[in-house]
Amino acid sequence: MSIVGENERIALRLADIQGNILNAYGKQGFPKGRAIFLHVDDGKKGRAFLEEFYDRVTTAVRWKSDNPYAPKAETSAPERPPVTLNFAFTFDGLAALGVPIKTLSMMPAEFLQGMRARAPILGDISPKGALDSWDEVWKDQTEAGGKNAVHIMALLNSKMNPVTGNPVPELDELTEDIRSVCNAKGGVRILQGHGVGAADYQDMSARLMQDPQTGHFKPVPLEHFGYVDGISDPVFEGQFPPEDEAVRKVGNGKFKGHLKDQEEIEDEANWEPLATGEFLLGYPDEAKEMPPAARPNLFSTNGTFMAYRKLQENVDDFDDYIDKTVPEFAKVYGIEDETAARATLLAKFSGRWQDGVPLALAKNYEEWVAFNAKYKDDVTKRKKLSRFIYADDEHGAACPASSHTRRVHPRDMLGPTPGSGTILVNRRRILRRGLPYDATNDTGDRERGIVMLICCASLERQFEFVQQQWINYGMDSNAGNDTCPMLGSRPTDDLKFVIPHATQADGEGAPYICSKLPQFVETKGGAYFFVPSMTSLRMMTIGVIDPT
Amino acid sequence: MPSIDSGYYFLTVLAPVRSAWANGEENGRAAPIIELRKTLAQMPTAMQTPHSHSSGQISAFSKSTRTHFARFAVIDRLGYNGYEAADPVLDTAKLAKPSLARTELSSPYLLFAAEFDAPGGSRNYDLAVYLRELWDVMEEDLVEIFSNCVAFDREKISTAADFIEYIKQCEIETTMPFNFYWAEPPRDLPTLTIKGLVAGGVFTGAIMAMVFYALFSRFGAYLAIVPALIAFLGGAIGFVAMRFKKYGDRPFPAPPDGDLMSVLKGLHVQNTFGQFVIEEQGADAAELHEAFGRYLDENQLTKTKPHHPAGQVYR
Repeated sequence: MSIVGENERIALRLADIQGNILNAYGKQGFPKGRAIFLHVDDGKKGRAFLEEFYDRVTTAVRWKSDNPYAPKAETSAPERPPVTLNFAFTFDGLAALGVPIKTLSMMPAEFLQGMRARAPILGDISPKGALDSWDEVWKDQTEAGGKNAVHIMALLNSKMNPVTGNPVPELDELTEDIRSVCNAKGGVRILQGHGVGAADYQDMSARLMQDPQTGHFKPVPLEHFGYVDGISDPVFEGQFPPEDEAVRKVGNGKFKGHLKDQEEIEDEANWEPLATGEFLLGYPDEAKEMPPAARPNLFSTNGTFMAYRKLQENVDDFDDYIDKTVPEFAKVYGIEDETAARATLLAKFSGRWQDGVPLALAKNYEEWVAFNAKYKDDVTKRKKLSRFIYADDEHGAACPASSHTRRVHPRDMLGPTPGSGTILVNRRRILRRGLPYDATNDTGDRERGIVMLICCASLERQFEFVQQQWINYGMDSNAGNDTCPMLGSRPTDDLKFVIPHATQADGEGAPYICSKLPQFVETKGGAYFFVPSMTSLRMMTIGVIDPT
Repeated sequence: MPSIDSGYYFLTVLAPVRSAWANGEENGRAAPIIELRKTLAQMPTAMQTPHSHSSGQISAFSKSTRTHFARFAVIDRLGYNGYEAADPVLDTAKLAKPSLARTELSSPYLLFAAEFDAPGGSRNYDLAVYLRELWDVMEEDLVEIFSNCVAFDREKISTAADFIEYIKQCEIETTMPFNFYWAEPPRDLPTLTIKGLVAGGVFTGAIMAMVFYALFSRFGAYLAIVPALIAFLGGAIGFVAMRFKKYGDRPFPAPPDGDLMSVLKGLHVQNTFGQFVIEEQGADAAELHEAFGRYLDENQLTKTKPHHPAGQVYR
């Protein structure tokens, strides 16, 4: 049952929306990716460049899929392409391509400023001198009109050859096409400098597992600290066909009223998808308003904003810290078995066990083992992983309020009473796209991390709020100045991570407090992009945008 | 005494800003309002962020042992609330008064608002003690700020006593103090009882009724009942209202350990004890006992010092 009537249901024009907004390609059979950053020297040639690739841009039209989790396709669905292509533009890029000043002046201030200028808000100035260690490709983002400023992002995602674990050849072919159009026609340049990896693009790849029998490679949804990533993503109206939406909205949409037990959580009737306007421009949002967007409406509608963030994971530091902390944690927390203690500590940092099972559903090691024994079937288990709230764990004895996932998606935690509304949280949701990266150069320097792609209608209200208030501050998690134990910046060295324990009558149950946390994740570059609709992209390529 | 409540003084000062320097004083100086705004803009705040900590600059108020909050602001003009809605009926009857519905200030004002400890509960005494301390620790800053205000002449205001006198002339009563140190409502607050209110109300009403009855009885006994009844009600309501007002005007008692030095001590204990817990996690009982002894020695819980530095978030 849905409160939305048939005639009120938003039917998204999928062919007008770029495919990477609605879909996380990485999880849908495209485990390899590349981000190519371009600078436009000549607006006219820039528009011609876009024209050249316009027909190859991947839209959100659903294709046939063999993935059991993928939304069902229309009967006339196109075949899956071997490689996808999507474009996004910085503010400087839109200006360079000749988008009228009147339209540009209606863009939000944070987009005008760009991500680098917003570093103090995002915590990206930590550790000291962090901005100087950004990849070369971002060095010219400091001021408007930089000679090598990033203007266009071309995002490529591709299938993988399971025998070699490498991308299918079409990825190289498309990359080469972009290079050759740049070289042959001029006016657009590929910018260089992506850390120790390939020079003219940011390489991305899901982590791979090799089947010992066949020798074939299989992508696994792990990030480099070893956690399953990308489990829960917001579900919004129109994103999925009704029958998919009915299942997916549970735990990933919003609930109304008061949820008390697991049965109520699992009930589809208690959940609604989030408002489309939280993620796409041109639709009403959770405040029942149209999100502010630049005119003409055709330019903004079905577009969105995207933050690109290259987040380096200091895996050795993380592992060392965990190794060092486990014995004391085990002693204070009263866990005798070292494996259990280690797994528990790792889970407390994240809010989920490393395989993604939420602490809210499996409160200790034994319950985790039991959970996995009960839900062996992957399809059932996967659904469970998003279906929980924190009502019966107000003080965080199972899942610390300051743990990563509870911070970035507090669910019912900010309601006036446990288990009540998510209204405050509904305005701070973000779609997370992206893939891990891992590169080593000839001299043996290695960098690993995640390229995060964050989509939302307002970068300031949604992404920046989550980053500033929930990741890099602790007020809403009852954690004072403490930052997220995993992703947080560390502006001072006395930040802690408190792991509460269920208090017992006999005085047992002291919390364990992690201290002297190193900064485990550092930003190595990024920018704010506008992801236009296909109509808007067409308007840009032909240079006809009339804001009057 | 709304300016004093629960052991704190809520000071509100409005000093008119000079419109120009006196003849011969210009010497190429910018106008007083410009100088004032420049001085205020450059005053360091408290160390509230990691960034302001690393700047090494801290508000001069941190040298005071009593200031909880202090702020300066320039009130140049009042907010504009729009026109009063037109009334078509009055307009047609030509009874509408022309109104711009706005208030303008003849000069800008410097607002100085501060909350500080007032253990004495006396407006005169506690204000004088506070301002004297301020004058001692930040005379130069105060002179630089207030000399942009009307009648603050360096020759005339050279001592703490002069400064106190000046501030008192500019002080207005704070009618809505904001204070949050009472975690739970204080016990033994003076309370009004229904019994007392009824008795007092009836008594006052009866006296009033008798007076009015006597006054009006020459018009006939029946006619005098009406004013007597009204007088009774008026007297009774008046009594209750006065009791309410009297009790409402009484300041809340000071909360325990709410003065600045105790708060700073509290913060110190919170910080150091948190650190102590972290360092001793997993320690055995004997070790813990010894360490706690050392902790008590070092931190002197019953003494003022050591305490958290004033005006700093981090240590």
